[in-house]
Amino acid sequence: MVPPTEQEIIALRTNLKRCTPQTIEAAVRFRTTGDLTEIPTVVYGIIERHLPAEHSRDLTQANDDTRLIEDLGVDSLTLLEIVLSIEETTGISVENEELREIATLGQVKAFIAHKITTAGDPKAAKPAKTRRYTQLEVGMRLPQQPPFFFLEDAEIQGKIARSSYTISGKEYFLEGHFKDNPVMPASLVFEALGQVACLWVLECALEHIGTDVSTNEVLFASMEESHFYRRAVPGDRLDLEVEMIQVHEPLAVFRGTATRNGEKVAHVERLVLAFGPDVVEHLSKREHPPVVAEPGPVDGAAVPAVTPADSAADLPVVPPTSAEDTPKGKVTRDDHARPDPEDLVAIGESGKKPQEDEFDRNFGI
Amino acid sequence: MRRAVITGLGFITSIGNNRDEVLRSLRTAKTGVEVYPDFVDDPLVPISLLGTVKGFGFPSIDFEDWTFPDTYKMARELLRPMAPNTLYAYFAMRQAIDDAGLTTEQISNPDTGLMTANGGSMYMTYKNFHQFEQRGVMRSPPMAIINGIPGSLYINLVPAFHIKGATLGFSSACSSSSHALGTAVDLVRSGKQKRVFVIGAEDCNRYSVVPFAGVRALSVQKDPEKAPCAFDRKRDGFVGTGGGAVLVVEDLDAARERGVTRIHAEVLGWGQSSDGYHVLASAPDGSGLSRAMVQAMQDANVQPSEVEYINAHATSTPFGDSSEINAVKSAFPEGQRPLISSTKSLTGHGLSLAGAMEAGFCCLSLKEGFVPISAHITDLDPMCEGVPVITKPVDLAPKIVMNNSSGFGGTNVSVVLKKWEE
Repeated sequence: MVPPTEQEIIALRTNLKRCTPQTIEAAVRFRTTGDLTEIPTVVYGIIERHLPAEHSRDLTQANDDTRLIEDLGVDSLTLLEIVLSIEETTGISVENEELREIATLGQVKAFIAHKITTAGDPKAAKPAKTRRYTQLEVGMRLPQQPPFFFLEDAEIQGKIARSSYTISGKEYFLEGHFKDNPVMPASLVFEALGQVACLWVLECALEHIGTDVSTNEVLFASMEESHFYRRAVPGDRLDLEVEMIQVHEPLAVFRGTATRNGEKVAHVERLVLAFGPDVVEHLSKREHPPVVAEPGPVDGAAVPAVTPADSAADLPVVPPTSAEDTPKGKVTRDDHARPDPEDLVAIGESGKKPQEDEFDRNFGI
Repeated sequence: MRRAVITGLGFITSIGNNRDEVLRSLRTAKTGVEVYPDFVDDPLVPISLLGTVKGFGFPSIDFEDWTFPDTYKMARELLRPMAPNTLYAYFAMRQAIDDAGLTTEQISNPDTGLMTANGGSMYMTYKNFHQFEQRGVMRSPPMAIINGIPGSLYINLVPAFHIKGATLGFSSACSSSSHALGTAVDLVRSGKQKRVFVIGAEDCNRYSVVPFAGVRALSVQKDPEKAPCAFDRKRDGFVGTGGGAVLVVEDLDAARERGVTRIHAEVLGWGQSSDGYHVLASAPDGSGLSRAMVQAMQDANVQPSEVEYINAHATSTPFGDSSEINAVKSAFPEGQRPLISSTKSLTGHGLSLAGAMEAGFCCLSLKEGFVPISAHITDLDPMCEGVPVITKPVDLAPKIVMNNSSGFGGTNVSVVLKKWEE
């Protein structure tokens, strides 16, 4: 941190002239020494000075959970004033989207500290913005609902979406899977990964390709190179992560991994979701001709066969076992062939196994 | 047609911050013009005088630095989007509401509108843009647009008073608030609104006034007892002022229905015209303003001989005043010309504020039975011959008066008001 000039110190004091002397001195010390422990005093002091007169100006009763709007009566424009003042004082810049995520005093402090510590680092300076969702918020967005809802809190950072699922042991599907030996079906682990991917499509398709996707407009399309490595049993917390590889309406391709304590439980190299109103309309017909995709550049979009990897899970296999080793899991594709829209197979194609229909239905129809 | 009456007045002006002070100043010809330190201390500013608004201070664009009378509680949220002109207007608005005895429900309903006139705050705009250039866009004041543009007056007042009826902002230079008044009268007479607030307001500082020195429109006089001097041969330009003025224009039946006991005046009619002549100067023969006056008298259904007093637009510029005298000569036959004075010789020229402020003065004149004089005249311009300019107090309680306003670009408005008699 470059030490401030005398003039900058004067400007700093002018900027903070309605704050308490303690706040001003803490700000001067921070600008001079870069000591992060001064930040709470500075930030609280700036917030305090902007509080409406009818609210107590004493923040000693407040804690990190104190909410700016609900508890302190700060309106959105006052928040903007506060941010401008903090920016001036600490030399950081706050973007609109970041501003919207700040709701509590604790978040303000953490945010400012993070901004300052990452300031000179070009990589960290502009991290992909992380959007966080509580389980409730995820549930409000996804079409899947309990008992077929396998996500807890989630976050999206650029092309990556993460969530988790903790196997409680009370799930209905454990009763028969297997006798006296409860194991989460591998198909449902992939389902959980699919649900994370579904969240990404619902939340990010608009900004990536300009398509606003509605809740019930996302469908499972295909899966390739899916492998199951370890059993998931009651008490396990599965960490689920998908990365968007390609997105082009009406298809989004993901790579997905489920881990437990950092150990790989399942991996899918290509998990493809179809989305958009045309897809839904197409699949809602009684007879399901294949989904006709715009002959887009999505590589490998036309996968002839859906390959749920549940076969691997049906057997109490010992990892590592590849889905490809099982007869049903064999994936065939011709990388050189021009993707033929006619080949694009959607769920519900006649002759599919009932369990696949259920899987797909719960994935968005 | 319905009848439009004035039931409330509010003034924040150089000659007084309430009706009583204004009345006293007008009766005694007490000037609101002062030597303004900010002008005389700056060698680059060629003028000295300003019609200052007393009791208000705006040392910076930070609203927390502002000083103003503690008459009303001003919350941060209320002050934050304001400019000086908005704050003046807010005070005048509160006065007018009290004066008219309006309840919250009578202010906030679909039948009550608000017409504002304002030139924007050059001061806020300039300082905002300074920050914009110095500190970057994202660290500019968040209110930089809405406290600077001419619309800031209604932008602030509509939410502040929860106005639900017709809203318009007028930007026709120095005739703005007369256009606002005329439009309000039309809305009330047509039955489209039961009452309409008419608000004129301007800043009062270096940025709102000094730029007029560039076109040599301002008086360089140093003595506030000598200038401005409309209709005098020595007149050398106008003296600026600012402030806020509010009139409550109300449908007569609506006013009676809510039990109004005091009506200031009735607006009988109004007229408007354009010169089609020049960006700054009025048409020398006054033909544009003359047409506005004739139209106003026709709308009011009064004969020229019935008009007893004209509050002139006369700003004390050589061209403007003579143009107006020619207009009066043309609109009123010789021998039927009303008494005429310019109250701008006491207040200074309030630009967008002028029309509403002077219509308010006309209400006081009708109600209190006097006519204000045209101050500082020691050498009446001979071209005024045949037009009775009031250079000394006269004993007259007029029944019908007229207010004139003209603006840059050649806009003219004339309003006819009548003393209220039950």
